[in-house]
Amino acid sequence: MKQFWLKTGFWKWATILIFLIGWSYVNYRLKISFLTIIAVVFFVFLWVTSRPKVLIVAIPVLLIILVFTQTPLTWVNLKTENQNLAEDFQAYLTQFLTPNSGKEILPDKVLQIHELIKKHEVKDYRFTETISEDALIHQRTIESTWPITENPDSHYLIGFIGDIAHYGGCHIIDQTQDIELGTCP
Amino acid sequence: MAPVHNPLLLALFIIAAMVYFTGLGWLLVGIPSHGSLIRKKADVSIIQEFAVTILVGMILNYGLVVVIQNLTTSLSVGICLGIIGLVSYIVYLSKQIPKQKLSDQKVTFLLLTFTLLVVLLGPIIVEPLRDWDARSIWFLHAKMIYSAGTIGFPAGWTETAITWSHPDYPKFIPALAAQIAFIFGFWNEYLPKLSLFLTLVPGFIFIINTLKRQVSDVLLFLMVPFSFFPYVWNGYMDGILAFYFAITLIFMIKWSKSNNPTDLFTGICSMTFLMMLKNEGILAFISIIISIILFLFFYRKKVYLKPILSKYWRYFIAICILLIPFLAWLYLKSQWGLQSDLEIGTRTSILQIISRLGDGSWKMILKAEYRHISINLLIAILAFLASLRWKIPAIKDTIPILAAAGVYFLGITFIYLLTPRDLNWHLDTSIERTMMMVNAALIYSWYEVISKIEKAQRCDEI
Repeated sequence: MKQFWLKTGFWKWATILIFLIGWSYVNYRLKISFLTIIAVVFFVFLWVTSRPKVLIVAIPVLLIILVFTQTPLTWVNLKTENQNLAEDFQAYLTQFLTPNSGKEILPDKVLQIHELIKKHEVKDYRFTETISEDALIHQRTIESTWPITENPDSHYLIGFIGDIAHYGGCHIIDQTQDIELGTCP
Repeated sequence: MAPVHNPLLLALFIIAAMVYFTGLGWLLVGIPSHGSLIRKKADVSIIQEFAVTILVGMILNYGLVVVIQNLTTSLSVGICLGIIGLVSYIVYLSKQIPKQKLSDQKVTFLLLTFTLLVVLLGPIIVEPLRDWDARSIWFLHAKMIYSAGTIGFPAGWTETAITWSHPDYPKFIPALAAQIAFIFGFWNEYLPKLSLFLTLVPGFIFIINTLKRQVSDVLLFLMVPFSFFPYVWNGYMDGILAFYFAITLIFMIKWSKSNNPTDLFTGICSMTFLMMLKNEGILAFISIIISIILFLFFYRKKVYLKPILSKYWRYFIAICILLIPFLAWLYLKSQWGLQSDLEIGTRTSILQIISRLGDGSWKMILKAEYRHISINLLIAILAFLASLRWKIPAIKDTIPILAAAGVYFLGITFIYLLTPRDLNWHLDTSIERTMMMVNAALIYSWYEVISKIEKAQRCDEI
């Protein structure tokens, strides 16, 4: 009897079957049963071919790659970016090789902070609580102004409009549309 | 320095960087491979050797930055060493090229590599540093190194203003980006991205050199590294990490079949490189080591270290040298008290794991992970079903690959269980990227099976 189980590869097939049932159940629970359907349809096609044919595997795999993975989008992106580059090569190259270029991608409020820091030759600064709590403005300011950076002992205080009034002893020295710069004792 | 907006400047810089890395790398590749810097003694593919030389050169360059710390001094020492290596490499090549003619296939592949690299330059030149981790972590660190002129303490790693920036993270790309800005003499939001391009060059040469004219190779090439985009060019490390993880697995498996020490050396160089890119690279390194141990255990392969070491001691020394940059950064981190925010191994992390196992968060983690690997798992299942149907023995070679994927998967699950951050936020912001490594291993496993089916078909036709 033991020989029979071994000869027929019963255990191997039983393990595979249990794995596939488990996999199908997970797909069902996650509402992605189409994965199981693809595998079942593929297996039916497989059953009618007795000899190995790579295209029987490669074509469905290629279709899955084209429909479900990032690859087609990557090629579209590469095409778009290279097309842009080819259309205005000199401008992109100038941008690539110009000091401090690319800052326009920073949030507008961060650019306003840059403007104030540059105008008043600020060497270090600290933020009001509201800016400190705004992760985007806080982090983008610190990384883009480096090596001019945040210092808790700085005399310069940067805040959103209306913030500095809540800091006793500090007075506003300049402001832009959304940002104000103050000095504190 | 006044900017010169000439495409030739960019092309010359890239060529000069490659020449520099080749010269530096040859010092550590030539001796273990041939026992000499100028004579060829081992049968090695020149293209594979060239790619591994560039990779080793980049690791050594990083090592010089970490050990010497000052950018001017490290670059000067690197250039001096690079010139010695380069002269030796030119002498070595001048003796080889008349003997070894490149086949038409190799010339085609080289042209393909060149074209793809030129195409890849598009998004690197056009897109500025935009994404969160790229700006807040990797390229902020690069800017800190560039501004201070050193990777050492004055760079400001312990400043309270940047504690959110994970200053403990590995510094391979930041150091290279800082060197580029240092050489050009200015910082902007584009130029430092050239470091990503330079890092990808050996990877592309490896992967294209591995391809043969097979259907399975086309499928592999469509996925590695093109399914990892945009994380290869947007300044995140994850795409590059997954790319080199796949390369490590490819060369490890290649070595298990060819027994060629150069394949093993390439695999180990790539594996070592992972640890310098990102902390997840350490987990990847451990996963591969565990999978090798499992492979040796299950297939009852006996390994005697003494004869291996006596035969390949030069390779062993080279690998030890390659580990120096990683160890040096670990040392510097500990000196400055920089620690991971994950608090791995602390009482809090253990309590967090127990709590998340109890409240069912583990199901949420597994669901999120599964959703990101389901497509490559499906392809792997299709390929395995086909191999079973046609009775093609394909499982043996894929076990170490799947073991590496499994160990890495468990490791990442463990990290999510202990994370002190909000689990939903952590999963949403990182799961796609962390699962890229598992996907890389799954892709290579289904490639191996389809490749075997293709070989079986050819045998069947004969």
